[in-house]
Amino acid sequence: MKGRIFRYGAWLLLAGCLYFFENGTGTRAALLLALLVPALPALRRLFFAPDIPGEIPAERPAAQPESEAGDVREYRPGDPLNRVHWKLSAKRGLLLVRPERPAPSGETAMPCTHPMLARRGRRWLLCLPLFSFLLLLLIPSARLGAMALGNRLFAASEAVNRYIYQRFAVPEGQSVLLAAALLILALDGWIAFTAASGSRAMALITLAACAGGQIYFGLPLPGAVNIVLFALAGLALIRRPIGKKDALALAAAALAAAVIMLLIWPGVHAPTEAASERARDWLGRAAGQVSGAVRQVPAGELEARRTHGRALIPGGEAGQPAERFRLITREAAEIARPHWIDYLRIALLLLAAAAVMIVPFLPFLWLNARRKQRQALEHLLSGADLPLAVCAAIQQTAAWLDAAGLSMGNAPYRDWAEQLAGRLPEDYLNRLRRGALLFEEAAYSDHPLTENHRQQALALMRETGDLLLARADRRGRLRLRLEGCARP
Amino acid sequence: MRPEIAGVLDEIEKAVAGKRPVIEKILTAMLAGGHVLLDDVPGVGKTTLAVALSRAVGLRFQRVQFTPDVLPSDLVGFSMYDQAAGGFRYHAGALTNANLVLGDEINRAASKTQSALLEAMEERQLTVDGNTYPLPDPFLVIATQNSVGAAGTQPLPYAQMDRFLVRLSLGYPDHAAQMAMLRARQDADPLEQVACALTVEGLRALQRQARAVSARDEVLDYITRLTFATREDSRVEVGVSPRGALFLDHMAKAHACMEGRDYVTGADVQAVFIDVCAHRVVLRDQSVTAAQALGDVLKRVENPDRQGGLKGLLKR
Repeated sequence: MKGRIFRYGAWLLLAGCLYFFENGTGTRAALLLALLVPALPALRRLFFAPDIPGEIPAERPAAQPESEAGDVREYRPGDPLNRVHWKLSAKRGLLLVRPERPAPSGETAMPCTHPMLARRGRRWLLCLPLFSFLLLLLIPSARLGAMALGNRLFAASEAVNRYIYQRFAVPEGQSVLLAAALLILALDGWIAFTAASGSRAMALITLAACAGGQIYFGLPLPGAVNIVLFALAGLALIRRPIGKKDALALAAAALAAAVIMLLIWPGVHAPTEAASERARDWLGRAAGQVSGAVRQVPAGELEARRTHGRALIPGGEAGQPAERFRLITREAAEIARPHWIDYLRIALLLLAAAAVMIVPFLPFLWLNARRKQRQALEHLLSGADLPLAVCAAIQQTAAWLDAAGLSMGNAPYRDWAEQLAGRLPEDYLNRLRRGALLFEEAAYSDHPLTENHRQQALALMRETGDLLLARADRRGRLRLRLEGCARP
Repeated sequence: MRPEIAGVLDEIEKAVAGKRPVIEKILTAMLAGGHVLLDDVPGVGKTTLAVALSRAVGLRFQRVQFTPDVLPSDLVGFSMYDQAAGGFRYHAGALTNANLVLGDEINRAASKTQSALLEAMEERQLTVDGNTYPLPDPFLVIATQNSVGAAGTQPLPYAQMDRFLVRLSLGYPDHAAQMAMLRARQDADPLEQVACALTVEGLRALQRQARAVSARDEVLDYITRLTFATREDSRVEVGVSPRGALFLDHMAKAHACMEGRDYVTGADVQAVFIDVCAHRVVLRDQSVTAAQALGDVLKRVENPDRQGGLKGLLKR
């Protein structure tokens, strides 16, 4: 009940202020509206907060002995039996009942972390922008004020961008206050609703409207502001609850966007621009002074002055003070010095140029490395070190099995045959098992090996290559060839 | 597998069916000269296994049932004054003359009794009243502890668990094994059929061969990387100690010897890693078991077979 009174009262207040505004004396009312209405939910909490569970007084004070007078009374017919105080009744020898307590107040508040998260709060927040937009459209002075506001934004944009905008036809001196107040209300309510509802669609619509408005009016906000806005909207778009990784990823993305924007489109550097303007103005004035003064000097005297090294214009001996000249020179040097971002750009450009020069040669380098690796392997396989040759053959076999997707991970080679059972022919797996045991003997023992052992290992290697190439599809064959597996 | 070892396994399986992998591990620990901790529920055949093992290898067997009132002197012996002889006489304890000691429910013994046993296991000799008495060779302790019913128990502290080479569990037999056990015990005791397949001298020779198995630097590097990985694992509070690394090396050598090889491979280390190290790690994260954590370590640390691969060989 209190909530309803509050809400309708607020609408009445709004309507009354607008009526007051319509009669033309509304500056203070508009300001009051813009300040008070967003604060209304807080005022509501302050004055009309519902009873919170836990604040309802307990029926019986804790750990206090019951006094005989006032806490109990004699039983009357009709009193419920569960109110009889049996202990006291037995003590006194007559039936005594506890008096009835008043029922606790009916309104119960569900604890919420934030009152604005409650559904009723959110609906209230959504009504605000909708109602404001409605008023903006329906009230003629508000509509005209919005158009006048638009014209002012176009004018500001023209000053920056040199575009010529078609202006809205509004009466001269049209006040923008009512429109501004309603727009602020609407924006307030919309942002509050978006934040409270946690709706991603609302966040996206808000972002799109922000971007669209900047593009339409040609008045972009500073880059850093846009990045912060989009980062905040990003927070609304990612999954809740926001984890540490999500926040870090978002911060990294915002930083990357900021760096890219600074590199590609840093915009106009205001101090440099201002210094250039000052220098240009001074030079223009100086040029004007000189040309004006020179025109007044007779031609003969001009030549004489030039010959004798005197100032070209009368009174010019005083000239420019040297200090002023040094200041201007220093300012010019300051303007000419590249900014830190330019050094970064130069470095990136140099890297890009180096990459363009090197990248075309990379395939050749890679092919050469592979050729050398192949030669080294051939040398190992045919070398005098028999254990090393056996190990190389079995390692190559394992590499081809890996490339064919038959890898057994970190399992020892002796277990591969067992784990590949059913996927490869049994007789091949027997030879693979023997090959693995041969590898162990070559790699871990000092036993002398013979040429027969080497041939056994090489035969296993070739058989593996042929078997895998025969079974592989086109992608598998490519992977095997990249590992050096080729048909004889 | 060596034929003599296979013979011992066959004999033991007459009494304890369906537990060949566990029996192999116990034999491996015996070859490595270590002691075994069996962590198991009651009635799964621990005593039967120990008795069968002692008969199959010709060992002198002694069983000690630990209770809270067992004293250290019951294990190591004591000196008593002999009035007739006019001096002190040493009375041997349970450990003195046994090759294989089964210590049942070690977690029920008092801490000082546990310490007396563990000291004997470590030093392989007894010191009583200043006199030293060497223990028989070979000397193997199979201690059991029962996780069910912890009332009145003194669980072995971590430092003492570290002295056991392996911690194993027999577990319940499967259907076929239990059926075989019931059939075998209808009218005879299978323990009576267990014959000696390996003499004590033969066991000593195998132990010497196991100690002589060679381990290359690649394998020792693998053991070191494994133990370091257990210490650096975020789920492990206390990783494998250097003693654990040493025991891992001994057990891997014994495993290679069991298979008839005189060299250790990465596969040997992998085969015994969890059994040797699971009781040596203290976990910080109680949501995983030690075996799971060590299994992840095994998957993570590169096997010496694969280490470097072909590229590593070509660089050499």
